[in-house]
Amino acid sequence: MSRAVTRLTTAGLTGLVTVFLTAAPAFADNPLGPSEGHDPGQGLGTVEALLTYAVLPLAIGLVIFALVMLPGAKANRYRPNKPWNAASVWFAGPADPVAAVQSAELGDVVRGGASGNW
Amino acid sequence: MATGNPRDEGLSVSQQERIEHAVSLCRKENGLDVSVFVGDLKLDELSGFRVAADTLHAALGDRAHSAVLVVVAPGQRRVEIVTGPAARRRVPDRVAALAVLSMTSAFSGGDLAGGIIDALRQLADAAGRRPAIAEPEHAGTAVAAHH
Repeated sequence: MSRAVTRLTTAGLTGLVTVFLTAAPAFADNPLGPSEGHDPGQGLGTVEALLTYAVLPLAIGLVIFALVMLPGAKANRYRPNKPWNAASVWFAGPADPVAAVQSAELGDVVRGGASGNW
Repeated sequence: MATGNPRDEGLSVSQQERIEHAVSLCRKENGLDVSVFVGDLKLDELSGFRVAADTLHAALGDRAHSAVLVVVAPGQRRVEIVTGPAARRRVPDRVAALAVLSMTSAFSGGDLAGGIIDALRQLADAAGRRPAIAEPEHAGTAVAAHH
């Protein structure tokens, strides 16, 4: 019997002492003044709330969108399923391409290479 | 360059500059006479594409023997690499086929200039290094009509 009492007392005391010891700082005076949340201050006005939670996120989103899309909008993007209407460009081609093609003769030269389509 | 809305027609100026740079790099670093034609070929049937590309290659004149011509027809979705007999020794058909493969995968993703530039790099790597050859006088000449 005495053993059970001792155990219960020990357990109870340990619990109580732990709770009060760890709770002690909460009752201490704060040398730095009132802790946070002590003075909730003035509430946000409607305009301020809208600016902070609606306009500002939208603006940030728009800036990121512009940064992502603007370089792509400037570059000509080739679309494989659209017709190609641009004039032909020949890099390092003959000086007078039209005349050169007209006067070109295939001859019996064996040419190599490869072909593909997409 | 083409008239009309520059946003949906042709290669942009910077894309053309990048291709020009890649072409001249092949000439300077690898001594490989590379030429790139970008545009649809006027054909009755698409089956004549190889012959038309051969004709463009022949139009290179004296250079043709040792020149590599890359023909890209964006509207016809055909690409052709034509090598002259001397160029073929430096750029075997197997290498050309690999370059074509990387072009077609880039083109189907919408990257025309990038595909061409990567292919030129592959051709140049395969061709190895040789003394630089002179720049042709008219790089990036626009062709209004052909064939």
